[in-house]
Amino acid sequence: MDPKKRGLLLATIPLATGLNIAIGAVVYALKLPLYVDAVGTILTTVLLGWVAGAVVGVLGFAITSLTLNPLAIYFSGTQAAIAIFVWFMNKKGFFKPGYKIIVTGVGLGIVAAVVSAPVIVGLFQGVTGTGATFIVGYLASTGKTILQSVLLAGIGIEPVDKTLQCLLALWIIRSLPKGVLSRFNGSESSPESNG
Amino acid sequence: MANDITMIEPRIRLVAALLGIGGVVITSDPRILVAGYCFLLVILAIRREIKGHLVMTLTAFGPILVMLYVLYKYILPVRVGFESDISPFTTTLRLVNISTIVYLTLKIKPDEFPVVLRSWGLRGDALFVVMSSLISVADLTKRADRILTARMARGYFENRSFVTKIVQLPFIIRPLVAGTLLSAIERSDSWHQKFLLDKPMYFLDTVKVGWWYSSLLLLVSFLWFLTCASI
Repeated sequence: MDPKKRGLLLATIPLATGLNIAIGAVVYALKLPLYVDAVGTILTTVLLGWVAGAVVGVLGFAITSLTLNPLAIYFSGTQAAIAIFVWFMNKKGFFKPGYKIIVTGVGLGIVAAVVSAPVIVGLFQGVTGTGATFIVGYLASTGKTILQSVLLAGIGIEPVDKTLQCLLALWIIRSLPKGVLSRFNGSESSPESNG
Repeated sequence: MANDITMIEPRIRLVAALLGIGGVVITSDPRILVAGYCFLLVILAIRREIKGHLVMTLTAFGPILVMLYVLYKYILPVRVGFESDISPFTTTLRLVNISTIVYLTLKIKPDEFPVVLRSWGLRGDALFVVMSSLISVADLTKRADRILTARMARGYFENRSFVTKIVQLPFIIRPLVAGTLLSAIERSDSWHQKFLLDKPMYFLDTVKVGWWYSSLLLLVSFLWFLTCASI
């Protein structure tokens, strides 16, 4: 690997991991109906590729589960899925302002909901201790199975959270100087250069 | 100053964790789960980590227990023909046990990070990334504090109360992330210029395996698994 690229990877991954943990910790402490714990994952994926993004997400959740929220580690797979989806959408030119970023955010929310649902049902019996449980309860009481209820509740909530995170990541990337952006590997397909 | 660190053999640690989690998964007897958790609490008390652990566990699993109870005892039984053998207490207890086992398996004392992670098989870049990630939160906290101070000096707010910090959060995130990426570039350039990434890592501390502790842990976890499997 090119030494400069390697250095950039080694410097960015820990800082982005810290960013995921720090922002997630604030939101977790406030008990907001959002997660906002993947901004570092999304940023790293757009700037350095999906492998770096997945490492940031999984490592961040592993550390979070040791220090703050023991449930985080079970959703490490979701972080990897987020990195892969964002990388794919960025490659297709969907990480740009306007309707495209909304499509990416909504799609990301659906992906996150689908990947998380089996964990929530299998491990937590449909409950994760957030407000989403009440939606799950309502849907289940109407005759849907727990899996269907968790999936539908996730699809209802996750797109809002993930669209917000995508917008935040895009806003940050667009505010960076072009010189900084060009240093990152994914800059050829970054929102600044292709948009 | 170099230290001698006694640790549990990594493979035994892994096997013990798997046996522990396996036992928790296969048993549905709440008495066994309570007994198992009490044992884990004793270990945490010996390690002087019980207070922090209990706060974290109550914060994370308290709402789950309440919501499982509401869902499975009040909401779902309204449905015609609903039948379930899910016990909120047992489910929560199982999750608490699994999380505590994962915690005890992965938790390392901060001053032992490099040598213990190295003894777990992490080398080179992977070890570097994990080590740096573990200290990055403190770095970011300091950075966020500096941004807050700068905004306060410009007169955007007058005190550093909790509410003020929350209101200031959106204004902190962007400079925090931008600063983070810029410092990543600076660090990368600095390492490259000084050839730091190609230098081998040296560790002053030495690790030795505590075979008594390791054997005891393996024995206890095996007995736990057998107990869970037989009841």
